[in-house]
Amino acid sequence: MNRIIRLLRSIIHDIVVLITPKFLRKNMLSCEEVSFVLASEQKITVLKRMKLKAHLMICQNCTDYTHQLEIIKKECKKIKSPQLSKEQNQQISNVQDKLIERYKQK
Amino acid sequence: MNFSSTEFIAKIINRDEKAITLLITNYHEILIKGALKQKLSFDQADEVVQATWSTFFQNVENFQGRSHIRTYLFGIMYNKIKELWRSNKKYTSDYSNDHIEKLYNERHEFAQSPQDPSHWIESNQFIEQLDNILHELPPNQRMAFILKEVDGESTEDICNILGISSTNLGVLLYRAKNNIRTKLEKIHKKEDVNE
Repeated sequence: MNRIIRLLRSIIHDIVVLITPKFLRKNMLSCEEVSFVLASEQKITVLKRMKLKAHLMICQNCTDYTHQLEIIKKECKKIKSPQLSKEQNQQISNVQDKLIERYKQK
Repeated sequence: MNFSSTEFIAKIINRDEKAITLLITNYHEILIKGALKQKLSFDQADEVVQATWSTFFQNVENFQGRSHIRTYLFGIMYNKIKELWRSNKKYTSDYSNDHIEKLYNERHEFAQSPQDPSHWIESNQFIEQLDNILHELPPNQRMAFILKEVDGESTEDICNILGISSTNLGVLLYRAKNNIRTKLEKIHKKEDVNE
């Protein structure tokens, strides 16, 4: 199923590129612009969002790119925060006490 | 307890012991962990965080409560980390962007089709690979990416912490994500060849 969708999308892409006049293509978003908008997560206008959706409907490369970013975003949340050893926790506690002493006295 | 309230800040300025104890016990460990996420050794993290407190107490009168005190502390700490990298000569303002430009052809399309990433997460080592790649990123990109995607900080807070505009943050995230995905593609290409 996935392969069929990929194939269909690439056929539609080629047809759109072939039949769309140059002046209209200038108003469409390029893959480079799409990838910047997706990765930078900046706020975009409604018109740009529509252009983005239209581009993603027909562009397999940008669809894969989006999928890559989604996986990176989801999986990096699973990276464990640094674990501290008993000695390090003790050191933190000692330093905290020293800092409190130092700054309350000034 | 609202650490950013004017009353609390006034207590800190007056060196109120209770307020100082509360602030340090609440944020010291968080700051250490934040520094460790930037691939600093424990000793370096300890040094950076102590320097952060020193700067904080020297300048606390200037804190106007526009941002949360946590953001203010992290902002100081990230500057200290940058100073440390600069002194170790590991810091580069950014990598060359040639390789990112090469990702696209003259028609601004992908020069090489991005991989279908469905099989990436099938690898047991994916999280480890991702973690290793994060630590290889240029410092600025790593800071921006970790704050945004790992810690889930808001755009406004990240801009305050790193002292950059939202446009700059967008560029850093774009470069960081492209670096991460191209490195993942390379790893998984190799794995496919080996299989």
